[in-house]
This record gives sequence, C-alpha cells and structure tokens, in this order.
Amino acid sequence: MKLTGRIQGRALGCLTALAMVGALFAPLEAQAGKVLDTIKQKGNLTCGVGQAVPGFSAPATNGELAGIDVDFCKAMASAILGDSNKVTYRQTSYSERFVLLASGEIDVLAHDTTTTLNREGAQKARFTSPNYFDGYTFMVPKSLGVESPDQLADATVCILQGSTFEVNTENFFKSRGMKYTPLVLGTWEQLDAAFFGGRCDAFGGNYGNLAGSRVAHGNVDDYIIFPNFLTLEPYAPSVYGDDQDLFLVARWVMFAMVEAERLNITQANVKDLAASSTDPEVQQLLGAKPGNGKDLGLSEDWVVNMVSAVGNYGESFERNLGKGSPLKLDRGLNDLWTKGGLMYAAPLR
Amino acid sequence: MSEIAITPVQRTYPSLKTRMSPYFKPWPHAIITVLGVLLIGYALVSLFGWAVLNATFGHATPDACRAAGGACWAMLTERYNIVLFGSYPAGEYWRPALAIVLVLGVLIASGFRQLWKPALAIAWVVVMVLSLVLMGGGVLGLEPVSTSRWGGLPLTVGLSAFGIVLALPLSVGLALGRRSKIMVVKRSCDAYVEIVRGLPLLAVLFVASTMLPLLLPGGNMIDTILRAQIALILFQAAYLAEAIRSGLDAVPKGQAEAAHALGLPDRLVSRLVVLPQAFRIALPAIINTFIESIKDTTLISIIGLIDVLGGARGAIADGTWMGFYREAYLAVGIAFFAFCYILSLHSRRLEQEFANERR
Repeated sequence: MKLTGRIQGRALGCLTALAMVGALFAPLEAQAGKVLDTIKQKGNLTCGVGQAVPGFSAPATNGELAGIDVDFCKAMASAILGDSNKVTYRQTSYSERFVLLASGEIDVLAHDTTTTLNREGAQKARFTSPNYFDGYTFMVPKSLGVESPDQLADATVCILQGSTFEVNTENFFKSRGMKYTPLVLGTWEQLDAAFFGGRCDAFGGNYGNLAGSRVAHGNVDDYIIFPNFLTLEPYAPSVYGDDQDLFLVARWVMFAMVEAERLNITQANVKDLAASSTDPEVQQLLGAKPGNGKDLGLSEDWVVNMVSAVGNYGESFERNLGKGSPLKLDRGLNDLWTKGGLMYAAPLR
Repeated sequence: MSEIAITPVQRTYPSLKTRMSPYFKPWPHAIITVLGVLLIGYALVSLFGWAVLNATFGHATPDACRAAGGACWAMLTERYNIVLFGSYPAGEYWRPALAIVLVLGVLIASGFRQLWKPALAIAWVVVMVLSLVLMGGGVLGLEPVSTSRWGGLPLTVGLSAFGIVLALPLSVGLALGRRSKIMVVKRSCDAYVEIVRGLPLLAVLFVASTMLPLLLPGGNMIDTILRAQIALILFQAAYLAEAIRSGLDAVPKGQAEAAHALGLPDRLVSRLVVLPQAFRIALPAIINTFIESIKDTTLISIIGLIDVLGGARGAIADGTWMGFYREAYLAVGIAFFAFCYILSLHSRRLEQEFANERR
C-alpha cells in the first residue's frame, strides 16, 4: 500500500515533468493581456480550486462550493465581469494543478497552494499576495504537560508519509539534538485515528489541518496546538506566465480585499459608503474618485462589486475558517498588520 | 433374462455430530474453532454496538453524534446529496437520479438473454442520449448544467456503463484482428493491446487529461469528462479484447471448419458460429473486466472529476461533518459492493443457463 503510493507518486512526478516539457513545445500563446481579454470576451472565468479541502473549497449543503479560495474566485469574477456567479470551478487534484494552469485550462489557480521559488521560477505560476498563512507545527494532548515543541524529546510523532512534513520534523529534531520516534502513515484519516487513539504523543502538520482534526474530534480543550510555527506556508492564488494584465488584477483584488477590511468597508455597508463616504481613502478604493479601475482595465466600481459579493478579507476569513465556520481558527498571522498579523495591502492609489 | 433391481440410492444426511467433528477433532482443531468463533463474535458485537446501539440516526448535530460515540448515520441524512451528486445544483437532483435509473435499467436488462436483440443496442443509444440531455439540460426547458458541476454517482455509473458498452465492439474488433491473417492488421492489434495493457490506468487518465490539450489543436475544447470516458474506453477495450480472444481460442477449430464446409462465408462463420460460442466462454472474464472497470473509475479524481468517492470526501469536508469519514467511506463501499454483486449474480445466472443448454 505504502509502496504503491510512493510509486504512483513518482509516476505522477514523471508525468508532470513530461507535461511540463510538452508545455515548452506548445506554442507560447500567453501574451500580455490575452487571457484577461478572453475572460472578458467569453464572460466567464475558469478557476481551479481544491477537491474537498475544508475551509478552502468544499461543497456546502446545497452543493455549491464554498471556502476562502472559492471566495477569491468570486472576487475575481465580480471585479472583472461584475458578477460573482460567472465562474466555472474546476476541482483539481494537487498533482495536476500546475499543468492545468500552464495549459490554459484554468485562468486562476486558488488551491491552498504555497508560494515557492520553484513554482514561480520553473513552473511560471505568478502568485498574488497570500490569502492565508499556514505553518508547520505540532499538536499534543494537554495531559502530556508539554508547553513548547522544545520539550518534545523522545516523543513519538505522527507524520504524513511522503510530505514535506517528514523533512520538517527531521530538521526540527536534528537541529535541537533531540531524538524522536516517527510514526509515518499514508493518509490523514489514519494519522487522525492514530493520534486520538493515543498511539503518538505529538501530531505534526500544518496549523489549519491540525485545527480541523481537533474540531472534528470534538474535545477541543483537551489538545494544544503550538502557535510557534516551524515553517511558514503562505498560501496564495496564482495565474500563469506572461499575462501581466490578469496578474495585476489578481494581485490587486487580493490587496483590495485586505484594504477594505482595514477601512471597515463590509458587504453590508459598501453600497452606502460608495455613495456617501467623505473619507478620501474610501472614495479612492470604491471608485468615487476614479482612476484605480482604469489603471487595471476594469470598471471603476470593481471593488464595490467585489465586496458586495464576498465581503472584505476579514469577513471571508471568519465565514470560511474563523468564528463563523466550524473550523473556528484564530486570525493569528492572518490578522491585519494593524492588529499584529501579516495581512497588508500596498496602497491602492 | 434375469431382472435387475434398480433401487434408488438412498441419500443419507450425516448426523450433526459427524458434520461437526472436523471442527473439533483432533483437539487442536477445537482450539482454532473456539478462538475463531470468539474473535468473529467479538468483532460482530463491536460492529453492532458501533453501527446500531450507539449510532445516531435521522437528523442530529455533529456534537450529538460525538456524544453518542457510535456511527453517525445522521451525517448521511444531512449530506447524502453531496455523496450522490457532488456539486450538481440542489434543485435539479431528479435529473441525475433519473439518468442513473435509466442507465441501470438498460444495464440490468442487458443481462437477460431474451432481450439480446438489435433493439437493445438502440435502447442503449437512446439511454445514452437521454441521460446526457437530462444531465446537461439546455433543451426541453431543462436548465443548462455545466459539466464542471457533474459529479457523484452519475459519473461513476455513466463512465463505467458507457465505457464497457462502447469498449465491447472495439474489443471484438481487436480480438478478431489479432487472429487475422493480414499481417498489418494482426500486428497493429497486437501492438495496441500490449501497449495499453502495459500502461497503468492512472497514467492513461493523466495523459488524457493534461497532455491532450497541449498536443492537440483546440484540445481545450474537449470536455474533461469526455477525455476520461475516451481514456476508459480505450483502456477497457484492450483488456476485453484479451478476454474475448481467450474465448475465440477456446472454440474448437472443427466448428469453424464445419461451418465453412456448409458453405458459409467467413463473415457469417464468425458471426453465427464462432463469436456466440466465444462469448459464452468468455462471459465470466468479460463481467470480471466490467467489475474492475467500475472500481477503476475512482481513479478519475486524479484528473479533477468527482465520482461517488469524491462526493463522499466532499460531504465530510464542509467543516461541520469533518471526522465522520468511516460512515462516508462505508456508505460508498456498500454502494460499490451492491453494483458489483448485482453484476456477478447476473453473470452466475447466465453461466448456469448456458451450461444447462449445452447438456
């Protein structure tokens, strides 16, 4: 089982590489603005999102996809086309996401994807600023009496097989000269059962996943997730290659969502503020003072459309990952820079 | 002439004691029996406790489920629609449901020999068109539903049923081709079967999904579901061709020679004499390939399609119902088992009928 998993992984790796080579030979169609023009022309945006990723992209009760990545797709569609429903969602697997982006089958990739050098340099994905900061850490039962990862010497650690988690854990323990026993399993469900069944002292994974498992198990107060991360995983949406215009829209849509939160512009009050606000920053963001829309090749009310559809960044976070969601994540690093987090927007002027 | 008394052989049923004795004699057998019964008993009691006694039925909150400690069937009550239909629009569930009923209906009908007539082929074509129209809409006042929202059971049933039905004629061609006297035909059929059988389905699907658009002009226009369907058909055809070829090889040469001697042309020798017999022989192998292909459809998740297993993953991924994967996967497992078991019952009945006929 494990072995086939690894072989399949390798086979997929080879195929991805092959497809990438194929992409080199395919005529380079991407010119500045071509993808954005096509989106406007056909009146529809194709967005690659995750398959069943809680809080990021998963079917709600009515079958419609919901999540913070799905919200980004909606924000893009309402900024470009003025209608958040003009999105075709393509639920992609992790192994095919960059190939689909390269082949032009999806216009935007919003798929709980970490920005890395290789993905930008070799695979030509262009990432916007992050829409979620995650990081590698450990979860332990409160009864273990451990207060920081540094006290985990000689612990048994549950880790997902074939992931960067294995490397992260190895590096962490080695750098501190501590011994540990890894319990490596093939699926998240197996790890879940092993950890809550008491087979390991600590559960290594990204904060968001660990918090999800903790909620799913029910007794949230019996487990601690260390807030000091070993790595930073900035998840960001991306577009492909040379289309500067589409990239600019994606980048500034993300900034505008964050800026709207800082200026207290919400789904509920955006229409009123657009009509009546006297704050120059609000006026500029919402297009009462024109210019931003023209620079991006969008209509001047793009931010109004966007915020009416999905709200500001904070609203989207709380609805999908935070207090309004079953996951109940803290804002943490994802809070605004004014509140000690990492979320910021470059000035929209 | 002396009379021979023919008395019927008395069939005696062994006593309970005789029948039980292999389980208890010699004495090590007794230990194994007792341990085995205890183990199975324990497993059954725990399963019963989990699935029935401590389970939560009907409508309930996730917290109520966790408090009860057993199976959370309430999860399926709340989220069955996602398991069955993926992200298909909520108000239109009758359409995929009807499409599944149609496809399963014609599939089950295909298992009865009385119905093996040209009309059956027409019925398949009609069902294919109807189910596609039902799913896609856009005509007859049905609201259009983009293929990106198709998912769940209709994909599993549709891809495997249409896959096998369309692969069948192709595979007959390939099997006959491999026995052809024309070298070019024979070699190319050989090459096709050997190459396709040598590739993992996962790779075939991945190539169909990601390489096709890069290599073909306008490849982006081919729908992902269609790509998967083509890949499945081409893949199954290679396996089916081998099943059918084994049947063809098992038909005694004398049958074809006798038919030739009666003056039948080659075409009719194949159609009337060899193929029907080959099919009977190859039937278990054909059904076997079909059963495998149903389970293989779960691999389509790698190219971003949501089958019934993907639907189950989606059902437990909305946050609220996270952690209830046992129930979701069990439900999907039961669905797959039911489909496969129906097919194998069909196959067993057909084999029995053929065997009776041959006597």
